[in-house]
Amino acid sequence: MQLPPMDYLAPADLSEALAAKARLGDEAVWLAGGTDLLPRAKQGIAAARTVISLKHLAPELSGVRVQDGRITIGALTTLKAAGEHPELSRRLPGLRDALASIGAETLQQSVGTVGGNLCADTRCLYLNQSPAWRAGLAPCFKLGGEVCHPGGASADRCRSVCQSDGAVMLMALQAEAQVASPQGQRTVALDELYTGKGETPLALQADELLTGVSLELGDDPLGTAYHKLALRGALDYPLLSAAAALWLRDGVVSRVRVALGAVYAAPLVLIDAVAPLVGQEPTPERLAQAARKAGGHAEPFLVDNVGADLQWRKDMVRVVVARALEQAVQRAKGGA
Amino acid sequence: MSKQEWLIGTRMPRVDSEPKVRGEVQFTADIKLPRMLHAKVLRSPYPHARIKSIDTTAAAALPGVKAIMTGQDTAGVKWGVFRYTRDQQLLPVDRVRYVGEEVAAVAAVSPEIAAQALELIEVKYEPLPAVSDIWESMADGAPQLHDDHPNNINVHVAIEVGDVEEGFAKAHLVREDVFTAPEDSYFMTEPYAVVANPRPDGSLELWMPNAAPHQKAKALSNALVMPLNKVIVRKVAIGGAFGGRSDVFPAEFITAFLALKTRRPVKLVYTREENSVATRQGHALFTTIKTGVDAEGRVLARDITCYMDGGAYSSTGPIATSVPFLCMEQTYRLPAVRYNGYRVYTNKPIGGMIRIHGRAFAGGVDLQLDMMAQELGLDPLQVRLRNARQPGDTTPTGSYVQSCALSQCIQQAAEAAGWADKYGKLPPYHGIGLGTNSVQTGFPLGIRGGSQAMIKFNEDGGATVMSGVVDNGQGNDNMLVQIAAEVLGLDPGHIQLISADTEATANDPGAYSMIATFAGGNAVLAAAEDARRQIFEVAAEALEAHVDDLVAQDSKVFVAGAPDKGLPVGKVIRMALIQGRPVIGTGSFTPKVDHRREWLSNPAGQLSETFSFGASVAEVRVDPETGMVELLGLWLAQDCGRALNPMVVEGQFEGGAAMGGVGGMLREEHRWSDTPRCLNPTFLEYKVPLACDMPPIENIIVESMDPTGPFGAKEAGMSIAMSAAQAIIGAVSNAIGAPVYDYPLTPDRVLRAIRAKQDGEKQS
Repeated sequence: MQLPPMDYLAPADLSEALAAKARLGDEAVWLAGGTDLLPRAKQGIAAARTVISLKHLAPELSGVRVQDGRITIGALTTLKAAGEHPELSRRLPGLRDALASIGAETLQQSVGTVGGNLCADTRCLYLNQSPAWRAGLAPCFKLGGEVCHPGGASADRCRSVCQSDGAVMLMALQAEAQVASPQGQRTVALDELYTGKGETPLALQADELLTGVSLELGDDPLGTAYHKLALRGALDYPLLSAAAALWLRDGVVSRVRVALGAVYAAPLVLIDAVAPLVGQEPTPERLAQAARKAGGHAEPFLVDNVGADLQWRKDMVRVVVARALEQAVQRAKGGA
Repeated sequence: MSKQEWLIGTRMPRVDSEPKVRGEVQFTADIKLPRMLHAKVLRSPYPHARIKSIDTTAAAALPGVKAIMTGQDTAGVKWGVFRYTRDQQLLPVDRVRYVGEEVAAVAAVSPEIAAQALELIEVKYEPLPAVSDIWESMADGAPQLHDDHPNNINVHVAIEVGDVEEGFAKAHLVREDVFTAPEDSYFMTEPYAVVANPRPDGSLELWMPNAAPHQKAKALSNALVMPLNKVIVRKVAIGGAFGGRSDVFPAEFITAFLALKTRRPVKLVYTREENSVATRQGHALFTTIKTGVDAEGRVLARDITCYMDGGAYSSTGPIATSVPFLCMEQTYRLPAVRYNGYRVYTNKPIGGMIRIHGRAFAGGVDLQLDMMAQELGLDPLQVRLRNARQPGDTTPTGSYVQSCALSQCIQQAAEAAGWADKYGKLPPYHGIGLGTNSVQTGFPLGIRGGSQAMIKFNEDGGATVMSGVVDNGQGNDNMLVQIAAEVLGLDPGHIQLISADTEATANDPGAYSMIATFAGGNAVLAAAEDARRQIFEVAAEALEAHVDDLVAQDSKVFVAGAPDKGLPVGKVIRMALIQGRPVIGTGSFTPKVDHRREWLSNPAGQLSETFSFGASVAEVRVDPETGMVELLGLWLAQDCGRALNPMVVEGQFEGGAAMGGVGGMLREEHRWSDTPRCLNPTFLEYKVPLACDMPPIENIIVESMDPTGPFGAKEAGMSIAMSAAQAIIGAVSNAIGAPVYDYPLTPDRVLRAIRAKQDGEKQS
């Protein structure tokens, strides 16, 4: 498959990049590592006349900083660089694992970026195909049409799925995204960044660029874990994944967040299912109870569009949540 | 073998490895010729439709477009492997039968312009009702895909040998089970591609990844109505076949037609998606197996009914419907057997031969034996040994088995895996399983059944070997060179190989049906022996020695035991030239098969001159909560007759285990939309295993020294692709304590089996 002809810009710095994007608006797309964009461009679903390469911005927007109880990751930090950062790896092994599970060592890990993973478009078995494959199918919601092919006749909106690994873990960590535009910087919680709408999964304006992501580590001992189900040891998007972030104070859960990936158009944060854990000792029974509840709460959200049996994925919510929680507890207690 | 070989049996690096590692080898898509055009194919978006009209006016007007072809240009010329299966128009005239079928093609000055032109071709279709599964397709009143095949039954293979009902009546235990699997795919590293070059002398050169150049040439000669010697299929590096390159496809016809029409070279390169959808796929299977055994687990009778989803056209249908059965009738002794194989048309891509040959067939036979062994309180290993084929046997359909070390394969694989310490003794959800299999070395292929070879010499003593054998990546080029070098006593580097070129090389069956070493290797062996005899005759006079006392080694000819007094081969060649008796070795080999045997009308008689046998053991751990399978180890044993090059054989074992076992049995399946469109035609969604998914492997080469194979060699690797898959089924079922009937063993299927067992336990 060939890339369609596209104009190419490579601005020298952030302000030049933002000015170019402001000028071109929706007709331009950002190019970081390209491991999500270029396959979509070949499939004719990237809808961009111009790509704006961020390669010259790497010095400005790369790197992991730990300061005053916050970790900040530049958007252009490669997956490998972020995952192997000693401080990040030590403090957030769940994030390390999530980032290491993306793509493969041979390509995505080296050129794919944290920001790119957070902004990766939602995926669909009927849309992420060649134009020839889609020939004869009516344009779907995501392409401005009136149908959703995986959703069938009853679907009234796009049923594409967010399969970003990084987003799920960072959502569990209640991270915030830093967003720049010619008007300046703003901060947006990841909870707000993901719209849950397959048609427009990211709440970013046409002139905005995600420049980084940061999160509070908190004062209490923190345990993080990411559990991903996939059929292969590398390369695969999750069929389902769970991320847990859990803080312990004196052996009692002081705060906990769990997010699920590959459920629907955004990472799904499970609030009610894990709320009863706060103020309690995280006993195996209580974790299992939370995981069971998570299964029930997530079930109606699960979209059947990732190439795995839907009933199995429904059944697996409990399992991945339980495993992520158990490992997060262990890590919060100082275990590996 | 009485004589000790010096090169055969050594781990000689393959002659083609280094240039491949350097990236210097040219595959078809790399070929660039002056004035070359680029072709693209327009495909049907409908699973079943009538083509009402095709308007190519706008496309033809696009600057850079040099030719357009539709079914109207080709008079609906048809292809079929057999005279009675000629059901596919190479470019359909008025009807399409699957999403992705060829409808029109364009040749233009660039691939981009060709692609643009496709968008300008206006096809008016009248959609017809389509069928997407075999049951729907066989139902009365279903849309009919082909006029002369009621209920869409394309092929029916019916075999019955011995008294099956009497066998069941006498049996101590009878079981009937159903096994299923959806379509699988080859995923050759190289997507399909063709280059065609019309030459001033009226001939047409072609390059494409193929498994039988002479067969491709013959089919094209028929379709293009050109003499066979004017259709020249050239040698090119090939990135994998696995059964999926032996058939003839519209792609080569289209490329040839466009080249002839424009009088310019034309290249057509398939996308990965086109390779998956528009070449061949493995059949989906639904197999019912009924087996009766005596109290010791000896099989008395077996009755198998298999329904295969063949897709839109016949392809190799009669063969593909037979081979799963034939492999298993070879593997185990069967006093009485009935087989009914039905290949059913559906509006899906075309089913072809695939290296795995029906995971829901062989897997079912072995799993059922495990289940019966368990019911009888027997060790499945002993049951395998009691039923294992033995040398000197005759298969139910009448093939004499001249060499067979199946029992040794079973024993050695089991011993290496520690079967005795593990079977029945592993903790819960940890299991071990055994699979056994046998494959052919060739089928009755009529006039194309034999291979011929020639060897000529240069005055410096170097030789050129000519053979029709094609190398798909499995090491056939090396096999030919290694055999010739062994016999001629030449360094492999002093042998130049011309192969798989229909202009230069003589007839050959091709590198499918596992015959390349057996037929092609034997032909080169005969040619080399012929050449060596001629060399010895000249040398004997000069050395005043007897021909029988001479040996050829290190590029010299000498009396055995006196290498110092030898003559360089180059000198002998020059003497021969002066004397007017130049050395040209020729040789041929035609396997002894029963040419009266026919897939449908007469499935009886010698199928193949010899057969290879193998056994694999797998050990797994299953996650009882997710159903995910962790493969802890594979022990792969095969009787390949003789390992000409153990390194190549091991590569075949490991590749077979990756394809059939780690991929084919644990991950790989095609998924379909309702339409039906193939939802996973690419490497991302079709789960070919990665290097990191491979378990530890122990290769066990078993050598039965076949009496007529070249240096005793038969076939290597394909039976592993099958037996590894069977072993994994056994291991997973052993681990969870319940049979799994549906494949591949993805976690959802395994978990369903675990739940079914738990539900059963609750009820009882």
